[in-house]
Amino acid sequence: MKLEKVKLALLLLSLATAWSPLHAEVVSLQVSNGVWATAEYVEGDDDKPVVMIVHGFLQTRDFSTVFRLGNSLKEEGYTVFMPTLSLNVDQRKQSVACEAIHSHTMQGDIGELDMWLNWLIEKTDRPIILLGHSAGSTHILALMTSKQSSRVSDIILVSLLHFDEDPLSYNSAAAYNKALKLHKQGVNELATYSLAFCAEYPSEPVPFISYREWGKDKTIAALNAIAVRPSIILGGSDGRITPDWIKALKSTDSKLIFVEEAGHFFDAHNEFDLLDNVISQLDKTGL
Amino acid sequence: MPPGKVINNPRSIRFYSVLYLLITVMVFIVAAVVSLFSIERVNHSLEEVKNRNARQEIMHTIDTIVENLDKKMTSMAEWSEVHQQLRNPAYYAYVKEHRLLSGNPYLNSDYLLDIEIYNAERKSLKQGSGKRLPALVPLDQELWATVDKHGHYTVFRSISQVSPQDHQTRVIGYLGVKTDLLSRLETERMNFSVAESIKLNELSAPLPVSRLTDNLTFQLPENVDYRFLLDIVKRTLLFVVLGAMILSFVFYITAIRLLERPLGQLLKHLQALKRSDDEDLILDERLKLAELEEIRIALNDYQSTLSQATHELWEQAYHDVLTGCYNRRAFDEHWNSMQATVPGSRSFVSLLLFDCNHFKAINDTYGHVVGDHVLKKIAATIQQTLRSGDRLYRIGGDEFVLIMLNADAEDADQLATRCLEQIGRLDFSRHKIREPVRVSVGIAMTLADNPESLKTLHLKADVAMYHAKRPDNKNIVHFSDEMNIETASVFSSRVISAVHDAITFSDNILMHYQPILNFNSGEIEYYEALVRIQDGEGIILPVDIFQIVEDRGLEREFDRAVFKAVLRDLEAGSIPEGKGLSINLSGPCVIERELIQWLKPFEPYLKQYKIQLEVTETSLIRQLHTASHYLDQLRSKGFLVALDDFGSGYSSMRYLATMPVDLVKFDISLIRDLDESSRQKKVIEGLAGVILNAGFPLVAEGIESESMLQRVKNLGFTYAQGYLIGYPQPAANLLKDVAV
Repeated sequence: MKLEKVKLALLLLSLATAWSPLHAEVVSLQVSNGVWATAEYVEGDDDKPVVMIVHGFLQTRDFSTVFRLGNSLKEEGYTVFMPTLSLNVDQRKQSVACEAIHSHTMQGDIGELDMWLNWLIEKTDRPIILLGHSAGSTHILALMTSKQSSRVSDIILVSLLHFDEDPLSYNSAAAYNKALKLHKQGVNELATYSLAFCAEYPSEPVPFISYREWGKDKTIAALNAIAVRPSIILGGSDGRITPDWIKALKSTDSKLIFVEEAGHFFDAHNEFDLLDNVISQLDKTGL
Repeated sequence: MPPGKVINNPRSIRFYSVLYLLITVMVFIVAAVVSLFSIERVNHSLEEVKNRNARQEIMHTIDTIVENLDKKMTSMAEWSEVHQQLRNPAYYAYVKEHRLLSGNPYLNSDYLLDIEIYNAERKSLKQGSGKRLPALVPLDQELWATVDKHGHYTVFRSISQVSPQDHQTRVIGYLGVKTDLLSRLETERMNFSVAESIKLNELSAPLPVSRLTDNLTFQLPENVDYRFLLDIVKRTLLFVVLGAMILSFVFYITAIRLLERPLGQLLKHLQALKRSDDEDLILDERLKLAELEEIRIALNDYQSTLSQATHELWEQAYHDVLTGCYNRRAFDEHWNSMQATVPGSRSFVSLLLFDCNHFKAINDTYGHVVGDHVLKKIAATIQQTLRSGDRLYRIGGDEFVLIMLNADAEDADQLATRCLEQIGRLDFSRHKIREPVRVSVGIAMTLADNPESLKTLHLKADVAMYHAKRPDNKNIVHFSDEMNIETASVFSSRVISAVHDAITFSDNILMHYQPILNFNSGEIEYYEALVRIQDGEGIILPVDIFQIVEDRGLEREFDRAVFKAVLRDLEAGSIPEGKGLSINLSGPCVIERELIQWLKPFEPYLKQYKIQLEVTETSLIRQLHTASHYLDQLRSKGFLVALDDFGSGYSSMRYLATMPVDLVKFDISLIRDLDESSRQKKVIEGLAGVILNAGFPLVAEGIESESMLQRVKNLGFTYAQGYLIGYPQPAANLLKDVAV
């Protein structure tokens, strides 16, 4: 998906069905020909920044980690904006299984985020804080490397990962090399790769490569390249994070926050630790 | 049964027992069959209910499966990957294989046959495929949920989405699913049917799933309880039927043993009684049934009583009441029986006749009571003297007979001698009898193998007796042929035979009638009927006839034969009308209870004839009361009674006054006395006067001369009878005399 082809259409759709006591608003956005993406916007206190939360890989804004975090922030009075990446699925409401055909690309995702960020900038004049979870953090990094906006006042990256991490030994490196080879050969056919935590990831080489190329080096480079110094919150017990990755992160200017005993998804009581750390960061941002 | 109709073929107990057995068994068999039929009918009803329940259960199960599938398809219709394929079906084949048919989070079933995604134009995303599902979604939505002949369920549903632009819901595609519904059904746990047995009928075209149930066949689960219950019921019924058969058979055997056999014994016993077999007529074997046992006891009691009564009757019939000896009937039967059995034996048979001399005089002199006593003593004395087994018979008034088997003349003589000696020692002085009572014995002997001689043995003994009674002879006389010649005229077999023939047939009786003159009218007023017997040799007179009749005690029978003969003359009209008729009655006949009946045929003639019955004063006096009773009855009917031979016996005037007589006939001896001395003559004349004065008409018998006729006429006699008046003559001559 080429961003230039993305016809930005900002539509404020009165989706009254989604209004909540916190004045939740579901916004639809046509992100490509015939594909619409949706996002939830909840207006918070005027004295608090807007938090745009990006969900993890193949997830939706309803995924538990981001859903709970978003709700908590709403309750704290923050204006929360939570888009769901379409992943080339019209009005996608469900997570996409690893085994599904993956035609979506990192570029497409960044394009959608860019549209949503633009929409948000148009929507509010308050500072915008980008908050990503897992691959959502990678998406924010990718977005911010290509977009300069003074409205983004802070970036919080929770459980930041990179795509050449192979925590489950799926030999993703081999798959990546295969994809690169096919891509180099100009072969654009469906193949099953392994990516991150997906043992089977059916995709053409290009969409696969678009995510897989965001390995450790490219991610660290992005961290170093972006204008806003991000805060990175990691679970102390996140099995997907290797010491090597921590070491690499520490080599950047990013602020690393470890939540002891927390896993990748900050389940159970760790969600409060996550919330505390996030709010702590948000408070620092202020208006 | 119509009145009076008789059951022609009575059935035996065995027949009814078998009939009962068969009916009982049939009833039980029918009851068993009806019970089984009822059970089967109830089971059939239950089967129908179960069948209905099973069909409803299957229908419900199908509905559940279809609803679940629909829910899953609804979820699938919202599945992002389905929507992704609708947007970009480039890798639909891969998705169908790896995401729809396997790894499908919504539909993951072994019975899933095919899933197809169709675009908004109803075309399959995989053009040209459609191995199982059609390439196009049917336009007719009634075909969106159908079952084919294999039991495969094909269902389609639309995939819709609300447009963010205009908020309109639009169909963006279709989802098709094909499952093996029938196989799926078979995995269900059915309560009312056997899931594995569910089969689909032959289908010519797919049918809506809503009609699937109607096209299914299935089996109901085996009703083990029912089968078990049915087996129990069958076994029970079989047991009941067999039990009924056994019980009926036992009943049959019991009925045979308790009823048929005892009844058969009783029947056999009764038949034996009917035949009067000589076998023991007492049924000794005890019978098991109380009622039959009571019948047996009662029958035996009855038989004992009957035997006793028969014996008593026999004793009465064959014994003389006065003396206790066997009577004449017993003698006749014994004699006849002996004649039939003894011939062939070379032994002697002796017949001894005992007769009391002058017994009539004793009777007349000392009275009948004394006479009877004399007879009893004589009989007892003879019996005490007899050998063991010898029988003494009283065959006449004072006549006894003894049959001695295996006894020759000497034996008979010795026995007779002993008897006479014992009789001679008898003392009758207590009865005022001073003259000796003597008995004469006539003995006849023959060899038993001479039948002709046996037949005449009694007659020979009679002849011997006749000789024994002669004054100059011994009291014991053995028969000899010379005696036979001498007494032939008196005791000829001709007279005896003629008398018996007369009694039997009365045809040979030729009544003679002697006229009796009425002095007042000077005309013959009536006739006395006098008997004669005519045989081939001539006329037998009363003097011979009554010797036999009285000797043999045949007075009643002979009088009756005379009645018949007189009746015959009356019926023939031989007796002139308007005349009287006098008939003699013997002593025994006067007291015969049948006398009234015997004389009944004369009653119609009483209007035309004066019928008079002549009885002797002796016969009247013997049993005056009984005789008077019968004679009074006869007199009330119109008969007249004449006292015959008055003056020959007691001639008591006291008796005469009480006798039921209408007329008195002076005995001829009195008439003759009129010629005697004046004293005797005066007595007779006085007697006649007294009788006449008493109002009795008086008849003078034996008038044979004019002087005697005149004399009795002068004495006032009413009637006269005798040869002077007329000789006895046959009836045929009477009308001639009248005509003359």
